[in-house]
Amino acid sequence: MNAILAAVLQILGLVGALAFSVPLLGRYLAHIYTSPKHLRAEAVAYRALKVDAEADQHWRSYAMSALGFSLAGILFLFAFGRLQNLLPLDGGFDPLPSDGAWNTAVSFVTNTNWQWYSGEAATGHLIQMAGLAVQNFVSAAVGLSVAAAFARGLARTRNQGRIGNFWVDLVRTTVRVLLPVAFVVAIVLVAAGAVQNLHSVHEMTTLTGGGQALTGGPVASQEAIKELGTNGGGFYNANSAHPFENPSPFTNLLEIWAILVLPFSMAWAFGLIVKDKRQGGAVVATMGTLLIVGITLLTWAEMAGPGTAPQVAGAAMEGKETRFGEAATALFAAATTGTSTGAVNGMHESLTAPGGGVAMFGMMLGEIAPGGVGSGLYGMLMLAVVTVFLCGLMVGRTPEYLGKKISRDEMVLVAVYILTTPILVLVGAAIALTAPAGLAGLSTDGPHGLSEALYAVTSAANNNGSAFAGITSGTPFWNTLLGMLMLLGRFVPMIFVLALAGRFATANRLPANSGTLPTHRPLFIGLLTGVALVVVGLTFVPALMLGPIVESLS
Amino acid sequence: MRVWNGGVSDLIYILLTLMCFTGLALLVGLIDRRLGSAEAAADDVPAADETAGVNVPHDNFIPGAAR
Repeated sequence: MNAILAAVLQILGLVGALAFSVPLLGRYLAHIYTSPKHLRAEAVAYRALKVDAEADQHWRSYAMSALGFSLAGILFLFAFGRLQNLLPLDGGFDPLPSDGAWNTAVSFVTNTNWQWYSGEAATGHLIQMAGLAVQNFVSAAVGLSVAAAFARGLARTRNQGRIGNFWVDLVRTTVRVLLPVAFVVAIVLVAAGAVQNLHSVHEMTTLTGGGQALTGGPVASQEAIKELGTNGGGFYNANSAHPFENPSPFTNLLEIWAILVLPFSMAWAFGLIVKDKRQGGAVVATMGTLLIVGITLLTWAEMAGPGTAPQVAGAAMEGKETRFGEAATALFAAATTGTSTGAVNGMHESLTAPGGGVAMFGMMLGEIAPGGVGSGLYGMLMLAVVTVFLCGLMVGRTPEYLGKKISRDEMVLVAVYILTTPILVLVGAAIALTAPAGLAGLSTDGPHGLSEALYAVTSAANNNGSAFAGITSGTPFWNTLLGMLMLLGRFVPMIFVLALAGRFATANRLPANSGTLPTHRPLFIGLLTGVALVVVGLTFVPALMLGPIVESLS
Repeated sequence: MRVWNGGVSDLIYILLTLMCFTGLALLVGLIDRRLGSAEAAADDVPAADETAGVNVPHDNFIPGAAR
């Protein structure tokens, strides 16, 4: 089949699957986050945690609960990594070094899943199952919970800053959404050929008489939540390019669907929670527009972009998923950098210069196309507030979003939210590119070396986790720098989001009138898309000029 | 060669984590105090005044707005 036709059919198949599943899952999510009833298993969990499930938390308590839960997760996972050689199913591996254990703990708790190590060569089955996979579930649940709290803040009026109960949101998301959906996806992956066992290394003899070590493990179960929770940390170093994680074109498409379905569904659920489906539809449409642009540009860059390989061979195949074709890698890369996933089915370092630039730009957008589970929605809603504010400035009216007046205090929160990640990325890149220990980790110099460092700090601060894998990041310098960026990039914006949610929950809802900017029409979708591109463009184009853009032109 | 290893480096990373989360908790408190005082100030304004002029052009001046 013609490669372009295959690429188009693949995208159409994905769009069809999402169009079918997003409204269903969105409705289910909205029900979960608004229902007053608890399941029996959930009630047991609340009793065990000594949680008053009926308490409606102030945004401050909600934020402190999320922070406390995440702090406990980091300390637990850090201890797990340092003590793994003393625990069962350690696979004979040494404990992770201090800096590596800390980086891994922060990485998985912040939903980043940056991996400085090779999964199959450094971590045993127990830490994979009881440490990393558990964080894959609960870190995703934290993101979804915060997004649900933000939607509730917009839906409520005069509620003294109360936005729900973090523990109820966390438990419901895990028990009712992530566990059942991940279970089904894991079963499908096993049926399609992914590995699921507790075996250690098998020594094999190849046809030519050579030796090969094949590592087994609980791969399919980890793979399912890795994609659904937009986590991305692979059981194997090759991630989804490994045939045991991603055995066929069908599983490849299934994994891309799993990456995208929850972020889009949460945006759909948002419309239902605020009791205006059109608002959710507008957010989904904006996310979808940005994603389609990203997929198109990346596919073009890899199949027909500048460079000898795409021009002569028809595609830049080095380092790519040769089993499924270049378009499959381009689609996977756009999905994984448009969300906060970081899973890969090819090496992003091997993307063409413009392709790598598109992948980086996807992360720099704040991962709102459609973004991480939960974080994509609240990131997009922050930009929606900026958009109504700018429109208010243009026509001289008081801006409002969903009937909530946007005054100085709201805009201060949104502005510091928007500024936080770029500051982390650019300051982090400056540190990495001036410190000898940072430069020592780069595989090359010149524009591509700068791209390696810029990609790493962008990935960390935006909680993505993918890498230009030529970089050697398993050093104390890189582990500490990226760990700090992941931690601050996750929780500082989250605090501003929850504060704004509390502010909205306290405010009155103003009735719409002829001066109200409709936020569900194509005009607003266009404005929101434009604002996202302009804000990111103004912030990051100078850095991109020095890396992928110069490399494209050279 | 790794520079850090062992108990001291473990302690350093644990302290770094605790310091970061202390900072985040302080940020929560700071924002809450600031928003709390803003809300108290807003509560002093009669409810009718809060909404009466909203969305009426030119009565809510926004610095820099096009006119």
